[in-house]
Amino acid sequence: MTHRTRLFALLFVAPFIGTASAQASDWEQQVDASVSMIEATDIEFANGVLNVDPITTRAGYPRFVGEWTRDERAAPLMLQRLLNGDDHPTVQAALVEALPRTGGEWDDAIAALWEDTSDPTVRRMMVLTLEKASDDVAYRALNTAAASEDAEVRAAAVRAMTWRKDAERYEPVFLAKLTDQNDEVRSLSARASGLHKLDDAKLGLASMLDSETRDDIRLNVLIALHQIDAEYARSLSAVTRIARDEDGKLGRTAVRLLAD
Amino acid sequence: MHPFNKPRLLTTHLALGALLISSAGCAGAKERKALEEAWNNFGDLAGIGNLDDDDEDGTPDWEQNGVEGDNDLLEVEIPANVAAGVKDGESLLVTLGGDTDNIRVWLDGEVLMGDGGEIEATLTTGESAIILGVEFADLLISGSLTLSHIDKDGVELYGATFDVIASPMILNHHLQYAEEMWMVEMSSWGYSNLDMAEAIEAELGDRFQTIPGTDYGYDVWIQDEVEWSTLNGANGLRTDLVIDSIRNTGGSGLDDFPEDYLVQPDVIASSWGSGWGNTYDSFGNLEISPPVSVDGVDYPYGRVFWGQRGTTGPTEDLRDQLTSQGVQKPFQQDTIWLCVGHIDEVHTFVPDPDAPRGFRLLMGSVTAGYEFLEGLGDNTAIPKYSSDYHYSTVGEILDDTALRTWNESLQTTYLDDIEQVFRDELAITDEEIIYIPSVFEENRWCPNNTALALIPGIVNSLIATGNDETPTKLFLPDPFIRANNASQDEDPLIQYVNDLLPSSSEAYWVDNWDVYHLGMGEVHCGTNAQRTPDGEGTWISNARHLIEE
Repeated sequence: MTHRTRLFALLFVAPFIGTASAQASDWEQQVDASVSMIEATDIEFANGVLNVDPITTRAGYPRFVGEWTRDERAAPLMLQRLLNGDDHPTVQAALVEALPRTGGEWDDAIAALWEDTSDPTVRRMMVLTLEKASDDVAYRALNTAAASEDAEVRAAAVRAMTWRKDAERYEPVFLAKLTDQNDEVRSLSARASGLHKLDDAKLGLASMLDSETRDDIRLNVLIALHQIDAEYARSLSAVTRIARDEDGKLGRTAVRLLAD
Repeated sequence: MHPFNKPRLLTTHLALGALLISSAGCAGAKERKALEEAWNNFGDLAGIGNLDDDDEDGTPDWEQNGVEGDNDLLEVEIPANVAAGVKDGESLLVTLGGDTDNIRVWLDGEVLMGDGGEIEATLTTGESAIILGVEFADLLISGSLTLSHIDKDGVELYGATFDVIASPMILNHHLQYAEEMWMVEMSSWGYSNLDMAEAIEAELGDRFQTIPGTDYGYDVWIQDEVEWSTLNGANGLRTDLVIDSIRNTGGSGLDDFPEDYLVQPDVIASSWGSGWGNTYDSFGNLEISPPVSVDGVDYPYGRVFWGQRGTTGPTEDLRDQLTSQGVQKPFQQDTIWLCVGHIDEVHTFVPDPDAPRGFRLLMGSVTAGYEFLEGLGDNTAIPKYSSDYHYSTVGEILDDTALRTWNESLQTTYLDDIEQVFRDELAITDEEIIYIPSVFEENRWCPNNTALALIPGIVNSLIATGNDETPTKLFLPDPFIRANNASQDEDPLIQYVNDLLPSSSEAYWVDNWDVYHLGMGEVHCGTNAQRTPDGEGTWISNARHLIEE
C-alpha cells in the first residue's frame, strides 16, 4: 500500500468504519505532507532517499551515509520508507539509526512506532535511537520501554537513557534496574550507575559483586563501584577476593583498582 | 644423519692432502686447497614450495612433475673443481635425506631422486659444474643433501651434508617497501569514495590501483579480505602467498578478488578455515610487528598478532597455520571490547630511521585524546560532528561526562593492557611509543558496551613504506577538528599529529568520513598493500632457531 492510499484510507475511510485508532496522527500527516512537498520541489532527492541502499559497515551492519543524511528533508522520506515496510528489517533499522543525523523531525514517529513494531532488530534500534529524541518525547517513551516485558527492549531503554544529556532524569530507573531479572539489563544499569556516579547504587553494586556469575557483568560492576567511590570499592572484601583469586581481565582490573 | 661429519672428514682429508702434496708439488697444493674450500663451502639452502602455476594451466606446478618455465627450483651448484676432482675409478654420490617423498631433485631436466623414488644417485662428472634443482611440495618441507667423493677403494675422500628447506610463509610488516596498493572504488547516489582514491593515487601513482566496487558488491573492506605473505629462498626465489580470509564465501563481496586480480605465476592464494567467518577472521585483525629482539630472542621478521579473547577470535585453522610457521611467533591482543574488534583500530607501526629499532608504535590513547581536547578552547567549532554525533563544539564533547568517564575506563581497562602486551611481547619501550589522541563512542548498532572511533581513528592508516628512491607516505583519516571553511593547515589535531610523526615520512590526510569512518572503519581498513620481503632465504640462518623451537 502506498502512503497516499494509506493516508486516504485513514482520512476518508476510517471515520466511516468508526475505528478511532485509524485516525492519522499528527506525525503521519506531517510526514505525508513533507514527502509530497519534497517530491514536488526536488524529485531527484526524494527518489534518491526512497531508493538508496545503505553501505555495509566493517562490522557487517548496514548504515546510510552521505551528505544527504545530514539534510533534514531526508527524515520524512526515511520515515515514509519505514511506513511502506518494503525494506528488509536490517535496512529498516538502518533507516531508524540514521534519522537523528538528518536534523529533521522524527522522534514523535519513533516514539509512536516502537511498541507496535514486530521485528526485534527494528524495535531495538527504535528504542536505542530515542537516546537522541527531544526530552519529553524520550522521557515518556523510554520509561515505557524500561517497563517492557521484553528484556531486550528494557536493556535498550537503559542503554539509551545512559547517553542522554538529561540522564539525571533516569537515575531512578538505573537504580531500579540493578535488580532486573535479565543479565544485560542489570549489567547496563550497573554501567549507567557508574558513569553517572550514583552514590545510591553503591550497596546494590556491592551485592552484585557477590551474586553475579558472569565475569563481564562483574567487571562492569567493579568499574562502576570505582567510578562512584574508589575508596569504598577498595574497602570491599569482594574486590580483594577478586584481585586475589581471579584470572584475566576481571582479576587484573581488581588489582589495578586496589592499587589506584 | 650422514655418518661422515665435516670435522672428521677434514681430519681425514688433511692426512690424505699431505700425501698428495708430497707427490704433486705446489701447483697441486693450490688446487687441493681450493677443492677443500669448495667442499667446506656447502651450506644450508633455502628453497620455496612449488605451489604456484607458472604455465597457467590451472594445476599447481608440483602436481605436474615438470613444468615449462618453472622458476621455483632451488639451484644447488656442485662447483666445477669438485666435479673435476673426481678421477677415473672414483665416484661422486648424492643422497637425499629428510622428507624425501615431498622433495624432487632434478638434473638435466629429469628427476634424479625423491618423490617416493630413489634417494641415492651417482653423478656423472666432468670438467663443468653440476647444477641440481631441488623442488619442494609445500611450505617448510625439510630435507638434506649429502655429497660424497668416493675413491676407487670405496673410501670417502670428501663429503658434505647440508640442509635444503622450503620457506615458511612470512607475513609482511610495515617496514617493508609497499610495492603495490589497492582500494575498492565506489560511487552511488548519495555517497562516493572517488575523491579519496584520487588523493591517494596522486601521491602513489602506478603503485596504487582501484578495484571497481560494482564487481564486488561494494565491499570496500579490502584490508580485511587478504593478507600478504611471501615464500622466499636463495638467489631471488620468491612466491607471494595471499592469505584469503573466510569473511566472504561463495563469491560474495571480495571473495573472488584474489583470483581476479592477484593470482598469477609466482602469486598464489590460500585459505585456512571454513564455514561462516566472524569479524575476527578479517585481516584488519591480523597484524605483524617489525623485526624485534625480545629477551635475547631475535625475531628478524617480526611477530604476528591478532585480536582474541578466550576462544573468541580468528578461526583455529588459521591460528594453527600461522603458529606452525615458527618464524613470526604469534601472540594475542584483547580486542573484544571494540565494536568491530580489529587490532588495527587502536595501533599501527610506522618506519622511523631515527628510532632505536627503526620504527614507532602509534597507539590510540584516550588520555591523549582528552588532554588534546582540553588544550583547545571550548568554543572550538567542529561542525563535521554536529549532525553525525550531535557535538557542535569541542566543549560539548568535554561536557559529556558520561562519555568521558566511559572512555577513561576503556583506557585503563583495555588500552593500557594492549600497550602492556606490546611491551611484553615486543620489548616496546617508552621511546618507541607515540600516543595518538582518540575518543570512542558506543554506536547504536554495536553490541552493548563496545567501542567505536568517534574522532576518526588516526592510527588506522595506510603505511605506504618507501625505499631509497621514494619516501614513506602515510595516508591518515582527516579528523575534521576545525570549521567547515578551514583548511587542513588550520586543523589543530592534524598539526598536533604531524609534529609527532617521523620526519622521514610524508603525511597525507584524506577525507574518509562517510564511506569509511561512518562505515566503522578508516583508511587502513579500506586499503591493502603488497610488500617486498626481507632477504633471499636468509631466514634459514637468522630465523632457524624459531623454526626449530
